[in-house]
Amino acid sequence: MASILGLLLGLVACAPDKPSSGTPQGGPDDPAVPDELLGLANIDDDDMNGVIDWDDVGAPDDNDLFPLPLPTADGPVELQLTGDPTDIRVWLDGAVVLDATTTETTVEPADASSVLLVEFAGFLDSAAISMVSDHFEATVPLLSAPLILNNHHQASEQELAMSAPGAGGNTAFVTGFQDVLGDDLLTAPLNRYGGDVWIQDEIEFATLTVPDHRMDVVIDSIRTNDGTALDKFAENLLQEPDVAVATWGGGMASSQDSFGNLEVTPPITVDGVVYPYGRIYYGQGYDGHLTAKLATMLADQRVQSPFVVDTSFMCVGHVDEFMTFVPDDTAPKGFRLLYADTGLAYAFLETLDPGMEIPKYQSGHGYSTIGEILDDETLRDYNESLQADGLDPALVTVMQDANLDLDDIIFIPALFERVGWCNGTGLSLIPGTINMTIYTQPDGEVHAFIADPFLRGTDQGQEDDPFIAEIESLLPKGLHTHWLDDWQNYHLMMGEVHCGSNTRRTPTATWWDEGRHLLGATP
Amino acid sequence: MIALLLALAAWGATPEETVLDALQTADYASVADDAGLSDEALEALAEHPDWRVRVQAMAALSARRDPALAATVASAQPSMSRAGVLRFADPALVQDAAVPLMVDRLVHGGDDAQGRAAIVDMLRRTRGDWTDAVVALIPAEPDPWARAAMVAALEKAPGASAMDGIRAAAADPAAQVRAAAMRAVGGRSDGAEQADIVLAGLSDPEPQVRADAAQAAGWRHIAAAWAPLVGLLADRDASVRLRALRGLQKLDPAQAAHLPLVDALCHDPDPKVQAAARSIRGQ
Repeated sequence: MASILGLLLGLVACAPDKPSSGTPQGGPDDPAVPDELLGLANIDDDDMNGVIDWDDVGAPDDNDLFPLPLPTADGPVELQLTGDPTDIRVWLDGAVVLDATTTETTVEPADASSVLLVEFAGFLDSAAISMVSDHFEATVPLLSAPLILNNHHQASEQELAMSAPGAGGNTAFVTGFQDVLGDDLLTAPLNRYGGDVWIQDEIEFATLTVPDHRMDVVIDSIRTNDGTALDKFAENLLQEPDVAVATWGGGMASSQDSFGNLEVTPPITVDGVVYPYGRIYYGQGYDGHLTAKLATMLADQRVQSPFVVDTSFMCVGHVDEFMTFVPDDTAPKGFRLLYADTGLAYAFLETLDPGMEIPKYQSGHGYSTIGEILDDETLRDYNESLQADGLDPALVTVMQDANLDLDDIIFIPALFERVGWCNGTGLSLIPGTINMTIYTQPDGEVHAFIADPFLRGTDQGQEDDPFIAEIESLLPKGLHTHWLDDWQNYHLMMGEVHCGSNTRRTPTATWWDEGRHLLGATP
Repeated sequence: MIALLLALAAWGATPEETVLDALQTADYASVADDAGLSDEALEALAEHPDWRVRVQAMAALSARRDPALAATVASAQPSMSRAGVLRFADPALVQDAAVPLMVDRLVHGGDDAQGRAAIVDMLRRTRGDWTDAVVALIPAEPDPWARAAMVAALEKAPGASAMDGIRAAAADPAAQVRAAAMRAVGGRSDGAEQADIVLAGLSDPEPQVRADAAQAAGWRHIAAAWAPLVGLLADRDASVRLRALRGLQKLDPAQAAHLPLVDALCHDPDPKVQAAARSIRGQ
């Protein structure tokens, strides 16, 4: 309990920066009681003892309790917790005085500087605390932060990738990131994580914020839950004080439970509603969907109102296979949606020499020349079908739910092949350009790490690759592109650069201000 | 092994019998060596009409000529792909010399269903002699998903027997295998010659099979499928209605645009069907 007392001094700075203006009634010596007390869920493990701090009542070093000054009073103060007290505790002098079972009490503050500490268990927990003394009466609403997922417009802080040096490894992939990001790239040895390179799919970074206080929340997917592969990555390498790791859902995972299938638009306005942190979107696959518990939790946050995109035409079935958002200062809304277009891919390939050899595609896909791709009528039929009945309808959804015009979209040439054992659904034939990682430097410089298409001969370099030249001509000019060799360890394993990396970003969310309209009625 | 060879010698085993005997063991190279089969003898057997003889002879030759490759094939482990299924990515495996070794690995077992499917997925990316082996092994494959993967590989398989395998798969008890057969025949340039497979698929009890058959009918321009496809516009399953629409559009877009049922589907509850019908009607 001594540690709780120790927090009193340390956490006053975390009080919401709002003047007292609620319903205080008293003399000029009454404390500044805030209009509202904001906090965040105490779901990290500040003392790193293996128990999250809400469950570890009175955990040492806990810095996620939020101070509420008591009124100056010579005598007792009556306290009452109203609304839903289930996930709220109120502390005074190292002891819990109000919680779900004790909603009313009378306290004798030790001195004039006595401060209540409010602790929250969950997101958007709301209640109110009333404080009544002989000289003072006030009611302060309590509210905890919503969980907010990151979008590509936020500044990046750290990139993550798995590392496998040596023959058959991914040195070129890792070096491609390292050359640009230096120490901002965190790698982990692949052999310690069962050869699972799909770090994008394993975790999703989110944040909880109140003024002057931030907690990162690593959403740990249910795709691995038996201690194998990347299951313990977040616990081993990311969990620390102020960084929580949590999982929603359980049981048998589908591919849609991987977080390449969980993305966020840039800030948008839809039907007159401003979404300052964007909207969450995820895919509905041909044989699965995001686990209901996670989907419900995300919807419950209200500020990023999720929408669902049909991904049932793709084998892996993730939204990041055919669409992504990139910052673009020249765009009407400050961003562009990059969206896959198979017709553009054929139009581009038809400009090339049919006899042009593409040796990588022989071993990877069974095509040795451009002409062999163009002459494959079934491949053409398939891509027409995928475009007409997969990509185009999904785009209609995205344009409606993200309120996009054609000016907001850059169509990117993309070609897919049918995967027979995957219910006849699609997979990138040319390494997926759109499955790129966007890293936004604090100075606003935007880097795009993209799969090298290898649409060239063995002895030719990226500067000779006509597909790279074509894509460079289409992408926003402010984007700094880096083409990474992901062929063997990622592309042939049905993923690309985005799938094999993950990005930590700086929260911009002042949800208590610019996101307030999305919360609806709160106490 | 020596006792076996002595027995074979005593019985006057032919080279074919010797290599077929190798089917009982993964040590095919030793069997060939112990039986005194020269490279020339094995090369001759590599042209044998019985795929089992061919594969074993070629595997023995590959192992003799490139022991490192044989070791690579024997030890190669597929990795987990992003779709959650196993896949081989090592380019060393995707070469003609590795094909008989991989087929041999498929024959001799040891891999689970996912592993077997991964081998076939690797084989389909080569131009080696694997079709007969896969066709022969499909009926014995106990796992329906792996069986479907094997059938899917036949879409681009060289060799005349591929269609025999597809035809057999079209009568498989598992719907996912029958659907794979429809996709395979629809994807083959000679698929139109097997229109009866597609026509039968159009009346399959499973919607996935009907949908894939409808797509195959369109892609392979099977004119006899017109009437059944029109009937499928009223199918209870939206994916079947959609594929039937697209099939009719492929067969005759002008005539499809004037079908009364297409008009009705412009108001289909399924947005994809509705959009397809409207695009066909030119709306």
